Amino acid sequence: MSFRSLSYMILACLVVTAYACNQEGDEGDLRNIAYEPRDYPLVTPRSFGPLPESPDNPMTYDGVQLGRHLFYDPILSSDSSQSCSSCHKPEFAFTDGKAFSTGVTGQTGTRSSMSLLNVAYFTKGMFWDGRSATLETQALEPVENPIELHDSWPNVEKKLRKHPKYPELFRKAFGISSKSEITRDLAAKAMAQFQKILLTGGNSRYVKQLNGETFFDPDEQDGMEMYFNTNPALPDAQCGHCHTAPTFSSSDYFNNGLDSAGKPEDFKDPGRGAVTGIPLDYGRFKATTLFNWHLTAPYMHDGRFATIEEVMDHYTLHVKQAPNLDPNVANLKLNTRQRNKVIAFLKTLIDTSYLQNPDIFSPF
Amino acid sequence: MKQGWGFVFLLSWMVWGCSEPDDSSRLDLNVFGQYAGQPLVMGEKYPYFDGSEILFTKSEFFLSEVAVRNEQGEWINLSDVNFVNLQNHHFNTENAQKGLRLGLGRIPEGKYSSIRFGIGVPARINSKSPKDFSASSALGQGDHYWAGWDSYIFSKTEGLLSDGMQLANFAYHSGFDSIYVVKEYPISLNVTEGNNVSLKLILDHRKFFGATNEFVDIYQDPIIHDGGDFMTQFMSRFNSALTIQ
Ligand code: HEC
Ligand code: HEC
Repeated sequence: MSFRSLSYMILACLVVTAYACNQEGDEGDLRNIAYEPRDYPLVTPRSFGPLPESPDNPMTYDGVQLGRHLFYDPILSSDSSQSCSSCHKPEFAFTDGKAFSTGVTGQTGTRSSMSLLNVAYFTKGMFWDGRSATLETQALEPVENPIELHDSWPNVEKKLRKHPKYPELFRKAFGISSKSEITRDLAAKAMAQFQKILLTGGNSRYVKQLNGETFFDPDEQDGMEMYFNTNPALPDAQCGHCHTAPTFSSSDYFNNGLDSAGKPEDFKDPGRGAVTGIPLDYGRFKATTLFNWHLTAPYMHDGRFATIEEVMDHYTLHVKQAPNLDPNVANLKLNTRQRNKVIAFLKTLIDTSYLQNPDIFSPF
Repeated sequence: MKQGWGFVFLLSWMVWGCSEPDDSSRLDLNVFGQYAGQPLVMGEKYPYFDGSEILFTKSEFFLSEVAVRNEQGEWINLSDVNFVNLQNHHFNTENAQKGLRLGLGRIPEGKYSSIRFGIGVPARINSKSPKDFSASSALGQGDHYWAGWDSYIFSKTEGLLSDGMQLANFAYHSGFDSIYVVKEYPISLNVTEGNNVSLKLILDHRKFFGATNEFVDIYQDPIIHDGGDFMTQFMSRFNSALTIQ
């Protein structure tokens, strides 16, 4: 055989292989589908600043739509029984209303699901302990977590490439030219984009009051003054130090006195300490948002409190000592009437208008 | 081959061209938290004036409007607003001895005799709030702002005091325009072309609380965040607890 005919043969083999792969659905060319990125018409809550920028993952309309599909699609789980939305339901402020979530294998974890509302504004890490730096890295975790979706990314990537609809959605979102370019990183980016539209707060009575559109009754007013320590005639409730305006959460981590500990290792759940290794970080957790707290019960990382009254009792009566106990919760002295006034103020942080954005719901 | 050399020349010219700004020098401030002259390690216990043991869980502050004075007596403005967070750095002796490096920006060649800055943020910034800044910057973070005062929290000093019988979780937070002062410190700095320079900022936390003959009764007043007398005095001691070398 001449060199030339050998070359032709090799070429032919290559073409056949490529075609075969294509038949399998991995190499499919997507370039005939239009890629026309456009901005998502995002409206941030009016009392908030701009969304923290993410230059590596600009938000687009189609990116959000792809993320929305993935978020609600059980294709991400090993037995197609669960999706992100199994534990993050829109009607519960994207929590699941349970102390501990159950994954696909029926196993329960040791932490409570978290609200995803305004999650875009957290800049110092995701999860109760902040172990994942960004939403883009966070979204990779649940798929392979054995107590959550319990699948593997190579397998999920294969399922997405073979799917009748997803290649087109990935093309529209990211301009990829072939199915083989569907990766976990793009899936995670899309889910991050979707989660960034889950915003709330701008239509709360609190914000309306700030803008002079409504007035607080005396209990709400007193409650707010205690929350922000602005009235010397009322005891300080200190909440505003950690659940800070305008998001009523903090990107930082605190020990809010749930458990007593003489030394760092004494905390049952090490919290932030397991991530940083810093002794004072043991037993510290993220101060989550109080917008729509009425939907996030049971409360705390382990769902130990069923009602907001129990939460208030904790802060004012049962705070436990530890070297890193935050001073702001150490000395709260509020009587029942004052506790109820703080709760009256907390009720002004309710804003369920996020449920009016059809894009936050399942596309299926 | 000739072409090859031409290319190498072009490339090195481009690289040289790109790196040009690096020729000017940078000024760093190395921040050393101390307690009674010893490196301050967060969470570790130190003797308080009254025989109790004190430990710190948080020490953070804004450092603003940094400027240096040259031989001609002109003030050169360096970085505008910096945030110093010791709790995420001084968590072991090694780090406390090394100091926390804070870049203050570029400094022109010359000799300098003073540096000045304020602890907190100036009024033009304090009239804003976190929503005016990106949430990823120190000024954009809600926990550095106190909505009840309409003021940034200029400094936070927090920890625990105990004598075995009594125990106080303390928190001293400062804020308000009236507490912000720009102070000047003598330095001797000679900046030559291309050489980075650094200064040491030593902050002795024991001095925040007074001296042996008169010190803060932490058990009595464990939590203060206001612009009243207590914090005015606390911050004036804070400023004198600060030395520049
Ligand atoms: C089996 C239940 C379950 C499933 C499925 C699940 N999550 Fe979660 N999610 C949780 C729990 C529990 C936490 C808190 C875990 C922790 O802190 O260790 C959490 C935390 C988060 C957070 C952090 C929020 C914050 O404020 O820091 C994000 C974001 C999130 N989940 C997104 C997702 C996405 C995206 C998916 C799908 C890919 C998903 N979750 C699937 C239960 C679940
Ligand atoms: C020192 C900071 C700090 C202060 C002050 C503080 N909290 Fe919290 N809060 C936290 C942290 C941290 C968590 C999460 C703790 C955990 O789960 O381990 C939390 C959790 C909560 C939760 C549960 C949220 C959920 O969805 O599970 C509620 C409700 C709450 N706080 C209300 C309040 C109120 C009301 C006040 C004032 C009386 C207050 N907090 C004061 C730090 C603080």
